[in-house]
Amino acid sequence: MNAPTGKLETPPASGYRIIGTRPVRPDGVDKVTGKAIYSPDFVAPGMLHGAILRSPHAHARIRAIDTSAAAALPGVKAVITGADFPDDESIIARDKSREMLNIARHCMALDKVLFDGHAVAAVAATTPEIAAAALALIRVDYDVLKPVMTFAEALAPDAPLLHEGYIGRGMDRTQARPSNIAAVTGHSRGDAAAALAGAEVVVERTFRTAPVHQGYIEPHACVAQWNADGQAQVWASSQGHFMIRGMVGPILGIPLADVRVVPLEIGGGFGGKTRVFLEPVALVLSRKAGRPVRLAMTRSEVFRASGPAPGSETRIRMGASADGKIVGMELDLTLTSGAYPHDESGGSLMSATLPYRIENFTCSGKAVMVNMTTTFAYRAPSTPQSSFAVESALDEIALKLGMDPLELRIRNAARPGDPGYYGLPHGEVGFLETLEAAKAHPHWSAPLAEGTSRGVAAGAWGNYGGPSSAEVSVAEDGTVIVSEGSPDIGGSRASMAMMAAETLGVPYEQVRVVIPDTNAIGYTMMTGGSRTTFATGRAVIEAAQAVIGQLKARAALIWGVEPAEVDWRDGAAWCGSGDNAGESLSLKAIVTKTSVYASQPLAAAGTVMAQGYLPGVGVHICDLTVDPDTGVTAITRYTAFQDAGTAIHPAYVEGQIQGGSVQGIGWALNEEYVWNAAGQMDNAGFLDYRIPVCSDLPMIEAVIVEKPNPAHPFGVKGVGEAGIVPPLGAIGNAVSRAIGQRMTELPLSPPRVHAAIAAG
Amino acid sequence: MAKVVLPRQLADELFGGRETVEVSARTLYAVVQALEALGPGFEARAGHALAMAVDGVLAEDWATPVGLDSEVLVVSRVAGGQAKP
Amino acid sequence: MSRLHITTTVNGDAQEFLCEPGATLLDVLRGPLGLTGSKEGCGSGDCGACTVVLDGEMVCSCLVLAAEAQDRQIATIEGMADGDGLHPLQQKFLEHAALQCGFCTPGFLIAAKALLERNSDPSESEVRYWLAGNLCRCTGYDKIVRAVLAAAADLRQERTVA
Repeated sequence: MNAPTGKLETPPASGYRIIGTRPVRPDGVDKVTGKAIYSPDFVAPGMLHGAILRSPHAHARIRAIDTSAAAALPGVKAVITGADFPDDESIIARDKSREMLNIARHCMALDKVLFDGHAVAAVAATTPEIAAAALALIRVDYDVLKPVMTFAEALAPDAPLLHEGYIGRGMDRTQARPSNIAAVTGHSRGDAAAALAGAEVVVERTFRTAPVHQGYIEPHACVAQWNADGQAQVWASSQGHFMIRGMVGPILGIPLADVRVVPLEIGGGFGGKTRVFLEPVALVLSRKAGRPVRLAMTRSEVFRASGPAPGSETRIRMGASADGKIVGMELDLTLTSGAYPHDESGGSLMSATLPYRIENFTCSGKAVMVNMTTTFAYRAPSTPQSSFAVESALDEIALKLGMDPLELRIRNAARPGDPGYYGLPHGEVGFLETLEAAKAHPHWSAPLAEGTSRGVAAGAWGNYGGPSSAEVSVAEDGTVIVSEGSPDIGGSRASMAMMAAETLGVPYEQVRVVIPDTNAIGYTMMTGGSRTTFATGRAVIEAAQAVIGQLKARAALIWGVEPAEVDWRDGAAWCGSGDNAGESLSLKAIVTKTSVYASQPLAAAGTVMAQGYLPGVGVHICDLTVDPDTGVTAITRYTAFQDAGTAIHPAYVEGQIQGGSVQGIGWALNEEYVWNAAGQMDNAGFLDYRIPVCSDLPMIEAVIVEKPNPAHPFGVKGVGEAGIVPPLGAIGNAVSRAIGQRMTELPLSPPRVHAAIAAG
Repeated sequence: MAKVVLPRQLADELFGGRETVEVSARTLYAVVQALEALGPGFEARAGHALAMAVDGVLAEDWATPVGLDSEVLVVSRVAGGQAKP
Repeated sequence: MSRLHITTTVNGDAQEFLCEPGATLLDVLRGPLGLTGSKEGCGSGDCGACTVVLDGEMVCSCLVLAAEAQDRQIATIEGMADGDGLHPLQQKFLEHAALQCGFCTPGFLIAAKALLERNSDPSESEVRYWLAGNLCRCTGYDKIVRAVLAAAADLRQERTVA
């Protein structure tokens, strides 16, 4: 195990007082004492307990549902089926697309069930026991159909169709037949075929990964209330309460101001809580029952009926010149869509190639529907899968050319100004700096212990900006309240407080952060795309700057000068003219010298449509051993490098890097959905869907590289996602080198590795 | 007139195969309206699945100005999360 | 079937509740007793988010029947701090940023406290294996292990001084 190098305190980043330090998060005490209220903890007075009946069949038509016995059970206050939801036409009309309709029917089936676990009915009762008993009284008449579980089965010419008549997005509607293809994408530049034909070395492989789950420890839950007057409230954790509002509104036909969504603390999301599963069902139950209704998922339901990450098949051909320049690449990606259309291939192809200059490429992608729950976003959506192929191919090219694999990547690293995937020039991306940091680190040059192999891989995710709202107000004692619309999924309250405190020039301890409900703050896009510190941070900073303007006006009043004569720095107003020239008044002094009853309140909003975001990029080095007798892989040392732009709170940046790394390690070594012949998940629990545990791992050394982003006042680049991308390649490369064979299928679980060793 | 460059699949699907379209528009919002008129369904798609770059710079804010000779590139939108909202 | 009436002690306080025979200790802690600090992550004893101490032994409360609490002593996360004085483990978890979403944190704190009561100077490896029954998906465990080692050092220091 490598020596612990964690730092408890760090000095502020250059030029700042607070940015770069490691203060305790403001919501910390509640979370270490068990007081914080997460989704499953919330109780509303008069609340009923809901329960959902789920299909045991992976593919079936619903002939009839008889709920009469359930409805008659004493204590049952409501029973619903898909028929209690609005019809297709009305949902499509409100949404102007089929997106919300697909989400609605995923939440509760109407005519067909498309996966084991698909909801078909729900009840609300006075106790959980009565609700469970009511479910057992519901009779569903299924016409069982053949499920398709693999790409091959789904794409076979005679395959049963999940959605009759459906033609995938991006396919030529005049020529394509209905199929289980959800969508196709693709983009090219130059002439990849010609470039590959002239390459010194060409690698051609097919890589496969299985669906995996985000694995958040908090199962989905919510309490919802929909009153007779049409007004609704939802109490739920999520990665975006405006996302919940924006989905239940069009699905159920509720005006958005009538849906008040109250964000509860969230126990992990990683992309899996960026859509609704329970909320529409709970609302419909509540409307019928006239009382609030709680719904929750069991762990088994989370695996079978929420939104895991797609499985994949990636065909790659990559060619290089003798001096290690990548001259061309063909990349074809197939992803699991699941029951309803969902395609992440576009973003995946873009992000997998982001770190490199590749002049000639042909990238194509498609998503295929199969009878499992609809797949959804998981940290850098679908990029670990495609990047695994790219990073493995690079490793193989390095071996063939006898080149250092880091040096190969440095030679091909994209630089600022280079054309990206769509031809747009890169901004101040930090690929080169991150690769150089890895190369210079002692881990890279450390001698390898006996029986240990080393793998390296890079990875990136494009990130996002988008719309966020915030408010800053100052109380009459000088303490500051920041109100912002991004749920705190990993410590963002701390970084928002730090950015506000830095801007205002006040101590961190003087700032409190709250995340109010959807009726109390402006629209804020969900917490994803590594956007929160970047975009919501900018909204907070903008609101703080507006408050500074108000403080300067008050100081001007105190001094009897014009506001233009007042400067603001170091947390104080400075008088520029008149009798008080040269004097200063701190924020606290300004507030206490004026009367709260006789002054315009100190409060301002900041709203941004944030652009100019830059990608997250990481490089990971992994040392591991492979036991030839068992196929067990043990990681002995792991170092992860990532460009954060500027780390507002380094401990939480390290935390994102470490957390993403370990999720990627689990993906590479052990996690996968296992299906039985009937299309049911065999390992829908944490015993057999085994995520990394504490004893599996060494310390994860996180090295933060800082190349600031000019589009953020403090230089922030989003960090949440990129960390999950490199581990698949780093581990795949290390294991391949350990056993002398290119491993192309994940997870590299002991049986698979052992079989490869035995065959090789 | 601003020149709009469309990805091939979208061109085939909504614009009868035309990969380059000229529009008269001074903001990205106006570009979207003009493209919607030529290829109904574009606006809904642009809201959540597409992004646009003006003269080489990604611009998600439809208030972004478009010059008389600007080139607008339409690409797939990538966000860490889902389709909408 | 009629409900059972159970009397027990939780965090030093006498408690009583009614429950169905099949109810788990986790169900009653979170339900009638209003102690929602212990979490349900899986309901099958695989994640450790429901960890409490029962008569001095660490257990997954989702695997203990509520009826088994009769006349026994239970310690949950709500009893770990002393009034407004945080336990050194709680303090170190905050200082080391050993929590991100915080959902698994109560289980880890209870488990770590049980370790340090048996072994005041654990190695990194001993900490990792003791905590192998507690799943965390956010942190990758690195800062959790550091926080536990730091709290152990603090507690040893207190004992030396005292």
